[in-house]
Amino acid sequence: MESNSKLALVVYLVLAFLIMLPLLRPGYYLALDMQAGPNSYTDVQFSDFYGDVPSSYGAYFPTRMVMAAISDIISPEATEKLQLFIILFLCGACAHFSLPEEHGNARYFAGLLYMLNPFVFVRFLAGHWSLLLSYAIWPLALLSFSQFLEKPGERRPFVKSALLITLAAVSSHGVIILLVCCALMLVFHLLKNRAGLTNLLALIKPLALLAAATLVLNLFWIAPTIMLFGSTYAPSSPESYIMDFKLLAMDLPPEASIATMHGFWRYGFIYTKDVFQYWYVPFILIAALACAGLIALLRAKPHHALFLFAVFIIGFLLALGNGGPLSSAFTLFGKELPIYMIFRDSHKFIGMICLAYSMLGSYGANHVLRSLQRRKLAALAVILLLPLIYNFGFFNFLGQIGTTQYPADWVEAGRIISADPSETSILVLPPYLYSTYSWSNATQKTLPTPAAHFFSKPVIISQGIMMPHIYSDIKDVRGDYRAYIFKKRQYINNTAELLAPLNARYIIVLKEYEDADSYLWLFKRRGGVDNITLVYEGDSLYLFRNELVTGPLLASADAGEGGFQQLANVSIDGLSQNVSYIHINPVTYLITGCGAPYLFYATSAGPFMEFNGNRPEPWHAIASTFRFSGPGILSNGVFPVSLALFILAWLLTIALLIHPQKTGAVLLAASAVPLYILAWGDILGPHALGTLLAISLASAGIMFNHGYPKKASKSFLNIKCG
Amino acid sequence: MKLIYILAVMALLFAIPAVSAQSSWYGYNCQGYYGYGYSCIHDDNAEPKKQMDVAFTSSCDGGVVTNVITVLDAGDEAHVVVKQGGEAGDIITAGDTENDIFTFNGCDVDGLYIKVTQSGYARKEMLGEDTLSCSSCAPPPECVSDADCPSAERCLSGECVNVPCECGTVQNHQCVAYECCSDSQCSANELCQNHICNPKPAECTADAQCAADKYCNIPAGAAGGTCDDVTVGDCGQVENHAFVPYGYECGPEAGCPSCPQGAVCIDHTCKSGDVSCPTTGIVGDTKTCTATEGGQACANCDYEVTDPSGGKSTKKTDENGNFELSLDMSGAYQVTLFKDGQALKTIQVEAFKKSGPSEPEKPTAPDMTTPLLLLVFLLILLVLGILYWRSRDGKKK
Repeated sequence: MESNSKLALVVYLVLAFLIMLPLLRPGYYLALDMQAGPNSYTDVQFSDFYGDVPSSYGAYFPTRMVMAAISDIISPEATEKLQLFIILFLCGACAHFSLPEEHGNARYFAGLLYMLNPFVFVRFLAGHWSLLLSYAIWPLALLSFSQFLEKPGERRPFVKSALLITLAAVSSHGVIILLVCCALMLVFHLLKNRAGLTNLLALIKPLALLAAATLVLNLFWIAPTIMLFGSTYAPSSPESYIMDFKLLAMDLPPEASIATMHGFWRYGFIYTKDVFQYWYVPFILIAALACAGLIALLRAKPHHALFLFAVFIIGFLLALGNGGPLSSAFTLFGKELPIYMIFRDSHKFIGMICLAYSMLGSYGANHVLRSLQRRKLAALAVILLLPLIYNFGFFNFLGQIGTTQYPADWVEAGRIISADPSETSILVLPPYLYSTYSWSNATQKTLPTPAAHFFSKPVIISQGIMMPHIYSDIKDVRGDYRAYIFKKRQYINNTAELLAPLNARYIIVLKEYEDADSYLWLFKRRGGVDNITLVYEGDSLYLFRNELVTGPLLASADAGEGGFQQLANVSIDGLSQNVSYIHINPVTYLITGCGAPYLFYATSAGPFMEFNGNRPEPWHAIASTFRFSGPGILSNGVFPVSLALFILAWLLTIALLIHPQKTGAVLLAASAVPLYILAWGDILGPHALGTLLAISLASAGIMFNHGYPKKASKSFLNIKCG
Repeated sequence: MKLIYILAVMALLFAIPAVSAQSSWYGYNCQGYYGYGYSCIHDDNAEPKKQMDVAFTSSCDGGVVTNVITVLDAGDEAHVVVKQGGEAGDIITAGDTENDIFTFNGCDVDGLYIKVTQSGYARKEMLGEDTLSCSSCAPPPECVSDADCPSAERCLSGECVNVPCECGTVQNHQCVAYECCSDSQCSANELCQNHICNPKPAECTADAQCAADKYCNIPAGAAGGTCDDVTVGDCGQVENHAFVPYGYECGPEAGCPSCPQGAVCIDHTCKSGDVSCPTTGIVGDTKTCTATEGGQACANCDYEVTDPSGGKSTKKTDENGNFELSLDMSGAYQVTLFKDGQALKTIQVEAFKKSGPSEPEKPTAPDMTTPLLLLVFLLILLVLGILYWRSRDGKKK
């Protein structure tokens, strides 16, 4: 590696370290959309891998598996910080190294601005780590794609493009934005010369192959998501999303806000511009550099300049969402293509604007530095200071964040729960997906159920985002059942029985909410509540234990026909824990005996659960029930699909990197069988898989980086280059 | 020059929207939506929480006290909690309003604490409301005098109740007593027959005519007497019409003495046991304890440990009567020594955390901006220095 490259790496490493300094104190970084705790990487956090929930937010479980493996070495707390540190570093380094070496020191401008801008700032504050990781990958992915377009027959650009796009799929939002950029790049590549149509025909085969390879690499999260989409997602109307996630008229008009890389659907975060009166001065100079870069690039590489300009314009229009000229398209997409509403927060497209500013600005900086006869170093200093001045808030985040240590009574409750070996769940009340936690060491104290990452047992999480116009867009019959219990609580005397179908052995009532008392009534009243024991009371919580619940499998005397309304204050006589079973993996059990005609699975109500090949019937619309006719396997039908596709993607990645000969390919393919068996049998859990994944991909990556195998570099697709 | 001109024009183009927007810089409009309880710092324009009207009434309806909490201007399903004894008191009932009201039954409850919460509204509390007294809502009495009741009953507090008459017959709302209902109500030489005391016939003339646990009690001057129970003393048994003491040091048998404190009775002999353990420890410590029985090491004796969460485990001491106690959690551990299934001694060991629970840190991050920025500028200077040094080297070459 050249010394210049080493210096650049050191610069971005040190910068990332300086940004992370406030978070290096003991405790976890908790944010609006970021949970962390001592159990952040336990197996219960991999419900997407096990097919219980769709991976609708992207392909992040392999990344989290690697983090789980790392957490075994350096603790979950340090892993979370390492993850954020790497993301920040990658933002700078990927932008820097995506530019040609001829740009010299001007590349630092791209790296600094791509790393330090209001978009990264607010997403970091909101805890959108997967989007930021994807965003960090974009520049290198686009570089690889441009090399692929230039030389579609060569192996290395093909492999790098497929793998980097897959890596960017750690966020479904991020990969879609990247694909929009790739599409724009393709268009301007075709327009580059007059032989566009001929060029297109020549590109069809390699593009189709690239698309196919990328699709296969991503099927492991796309297929389960599609399978589970209908049963888990209940999209609201586009109008509701627009009302709740519309562009906010803050201190800047939406257009100016987006153009200056600001914007988020939520109020409350303080940007550098809010404390720096002359923030627009560095911004104007950054914009001027970008304009200079655009003009300079138009002369040298017009198609490249137009591509970056188009990235800016399209990013700008898409970021405006319903507030811009594309508002009707936004609404139409929302109606005709509900999945488009994952971009309800259209500000994610501001990332494209940051990309355009960084790249064009770097070209502009290079142009300015080259045109100067003297004082080049001073000019470079001024140029590099611009992103730092424009976003100095990154250093200490304007006091908005810090690390949080969980309260002492949470620790004690966690100890009691973890001492209980039963395979049960925790119900945390009040049941809000997002709540404010006064002990959070940040100015914004709204967090997404931190209990889910703090306690060792699965936490029954509310799915309702509770926005003014959208209470929830997730189908959640168990949530509906829970809401029913609470709505009727005044008349309910059999709380413990009613919570059995939810497998809720522990109930935590958080005291700091003003309506906590209202829920407390179900568990603590004069004379007590049958089978509910107050195990522990701390300053901020009550911990109750439901003595009726000891495991996820129940025997039921009846099929549980009818709605759950029939259960209130009715003794569920036929329900017992009289089921003998062997746990195979978190979603698969060998049932050896059942003390009643019906077997009842209290953990998931998924439509793909099956017992001996039979699909479930809803037990009072709450959970899965099966007629028990003899021993057999109870499993989630999504997991085998998800696991097989994951192993396929894994081995295909290795194959793409090392390009094995026939024997190697056979060995690689053969390794899929033991991998599948060991993972299905839970011998290789997420931590072990993460370790293997990291080691295997790192080894293959090193081989690829060293140009192995030499022969495979040319004539990869039997296509003539150029 | 051309480039500088273009730069200037572009800069102006960007400056106009940015500068024109400055007029509304500060003043965040923070939503206060439930579940998204934003806590903005610059919360100047935050929407105030709405107010709701809450009223409490307690009324009598068909002899039942019905209490109604009316919550107006707060939409449906406001959360209502009713307690007795203030905010920290017992919850009497809780639920949601339906059609603006929440209803519960109950009387004679004074000093109610009522709390109503609703998303987007300021919570409302009421303290000191009373329900109606039960008596004020009582139904009309069943009777006023005995004459209103059947002859076997009498009127008591407005209700007809049976006349208590254990040994007699009820006539005209009153109890007429019998002479006797059992032998005990007659003299020693009489029996109660048909509620009349009659003289008792002679039952025996010698002990042998009585059961083994009785003796023949012949009054002075009489020819015969009755078989009466032998008077039973402490710690012994009746044998052959007389009481014979066991002579035990201790025992569970009736009247036998119990052992002094610190000893237990095994095989009718008092045996003492002891457990020697440090009374306190730190979580994570393992304490060595010694069990003795009658001053000697209690080898292979059972002992039971009850941890602070209530979990129990039973183990055996080693040949020297020693055993180890692991303090895995804070709180009181109970150690009980057993011999032949009987608890000889129970002691308590208190395990403390290494340090007391600390208050969560205040949500203020230290102001590190300045030192961090200084470090950043130093970094830039360093990088520029390196670049400068390299460019000089390049020129020399």
